[in-house]
Amino acid sequence: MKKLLSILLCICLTAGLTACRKNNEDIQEAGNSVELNFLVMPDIEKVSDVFKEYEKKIQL
Amino acid sequence: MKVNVESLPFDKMFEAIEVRLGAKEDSIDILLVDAPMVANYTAKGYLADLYSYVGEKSKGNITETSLGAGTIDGKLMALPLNSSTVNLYYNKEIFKEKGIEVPPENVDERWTWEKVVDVAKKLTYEKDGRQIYGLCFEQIGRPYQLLPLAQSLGAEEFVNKDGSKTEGYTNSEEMVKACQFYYDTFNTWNISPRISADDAVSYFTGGQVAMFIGGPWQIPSMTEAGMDFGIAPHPYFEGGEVVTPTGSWYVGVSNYSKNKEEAAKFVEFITTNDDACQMNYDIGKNLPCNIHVLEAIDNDSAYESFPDNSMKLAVYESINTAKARPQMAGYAEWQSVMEKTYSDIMNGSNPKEALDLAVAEIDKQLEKYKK
Repeated sequence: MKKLLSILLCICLTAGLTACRKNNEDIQEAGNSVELNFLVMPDIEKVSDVFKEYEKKIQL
Repeated sequence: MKVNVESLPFDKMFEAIEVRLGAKEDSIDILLVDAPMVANYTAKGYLADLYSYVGEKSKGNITETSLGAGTIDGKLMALPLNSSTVNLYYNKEIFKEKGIEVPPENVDERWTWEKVVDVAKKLTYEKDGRQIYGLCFEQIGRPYQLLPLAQSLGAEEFVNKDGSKTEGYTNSEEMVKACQFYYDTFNTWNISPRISADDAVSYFTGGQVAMFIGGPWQIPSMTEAGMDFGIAPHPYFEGGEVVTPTGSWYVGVSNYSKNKEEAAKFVEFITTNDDACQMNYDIGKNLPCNIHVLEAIDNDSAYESFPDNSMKLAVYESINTAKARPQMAGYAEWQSVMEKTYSDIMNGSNPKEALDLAVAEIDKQLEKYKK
């Protein structure tokens, strides 16, 4: 009986972890897939490295 | 997350905003907004309210004046990317030739406009067949640099609270006095050249102007021209308030964006995060709005020497004396009429009559913004 409960618990934990990982991947994928269009003029374009810093921060 | 940057020349960018956001397109998520246009775009429904997306700590990283210029009726419509200021520049050779002491660097000893005019009269003369002028504004005829004249005399508002009426505000007693001063520089004292704003900096760098009211962005032109110049704080009227121009580029989120929250978080980062603002300053050398970056410049001894000390002066003015241009839905119309009015005054129109005509025209144009 104990063995059966352990197996059931193990199955539940594995399923839970898999679902959680899948959920995290979905969120990350959604975050990664967002593309923002920023309308600027050339003077501001030169600071676009700052925008890349945000992309890096979001990926972490 | 990916940020696609679409870069258009100055005029084209404004056109693109009008055409695409006017048609409620979602092709723009984030846009640059000239400071006084925040109210205009808000009235047209182009901008999303950022208030709920931006944290209180982030808001606290920005100078109060800059944050205020992006706030309309309590709603945070745009955040400042950078700011600007204006100083008094002078040609050392002209001062030396006439044996006149140069303006002091110390903000507590800044010259009054009365002193500037007194000295400018002495520095207006003919040399080798060329006319030298004592004083010239960089942005001749533009409110950005001319409104502080009226503000120094006590003008507080240029339009009523709901932005629908300029009668009694844009032609206030202080505005008339300020415009009389502007008129006199061209028509009574003859200390300023009647030229366009586009030619002003070349008059200064070419040695035809002794004192120049301009922005630090012109320093590279002065240095490249090889001129011997100095920097002093912006003047004020005797007995009046010290007021300097400010305002520059803001960043807003389109009301038609499908990714408002993500866009708002991006705008929050690039405009308020200390590291991002420091990086922005390091690359662009534009006056920051982030309080911690401003403090870092103020405490850095590297900014003690000329001409980098202009940034220290800019920081001081930004924190202590800067006043923004008026916030109103009809700013574009107001500015257009005022530029023509300043031009008429330069060319000899009576200041009071010109301002009375201006407010009548502006108020007619503001009708369309009445709720």
